[in-house]
Amino acid sequence: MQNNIAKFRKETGLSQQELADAISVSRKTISTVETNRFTPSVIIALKIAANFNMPVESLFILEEAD
Amino acid sequence: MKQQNIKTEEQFMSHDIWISISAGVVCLLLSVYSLIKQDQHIEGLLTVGMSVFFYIIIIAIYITKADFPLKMYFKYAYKDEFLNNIDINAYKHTSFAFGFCLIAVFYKSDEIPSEVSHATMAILYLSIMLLVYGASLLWQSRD
Repeated sequence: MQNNIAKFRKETGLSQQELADAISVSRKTISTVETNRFTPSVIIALKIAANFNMPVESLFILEEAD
Repeated sequence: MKQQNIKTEEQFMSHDIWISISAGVVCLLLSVYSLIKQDQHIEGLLTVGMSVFFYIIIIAIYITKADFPLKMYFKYAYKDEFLNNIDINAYKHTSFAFGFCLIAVFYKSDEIPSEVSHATMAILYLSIMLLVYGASLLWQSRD
């Protein structure tokens, strides 16, 4: 599964730590989600989407292998 | 969950990693020393004993200075999803390493001198488990 979190985070001028603080997770959670090494739970995905004010489908893109 | 708690958990895991790796290295040196030096003299044992004693003091100072709440040392799970996930993975890796080690010793038991004590082998297993646990967490939590 691909995601656009890094792109939207940079567009809004947030650091990984600031985004992590906003949704109450560790900075490493954001770092590993951005690099596709960790697939977050629905709760975290929804929190990230809510933080950027956009639907979760815009952030996460399913691949054929998923 | 408060962000301060998450940051404390992150710091706690970082401490956990380095304590596990350092304890693993000390246990490994201790077991290798015991495996090589079968005819241990009192001077050698004193040096090893004092080294381990100083290591324990350094670790005690390190833990005391970190000043984490005591309950963190007795918790089974991290509240942060990612930290909890990599912790569970690290335990799995540790279990595999221990199992692999037991199988290796079982098949190579004829090559191990009979003078090697159970305590030495126990320290060797412990060192491998600590090293694998620490290395697994370190690898998984990389940026």
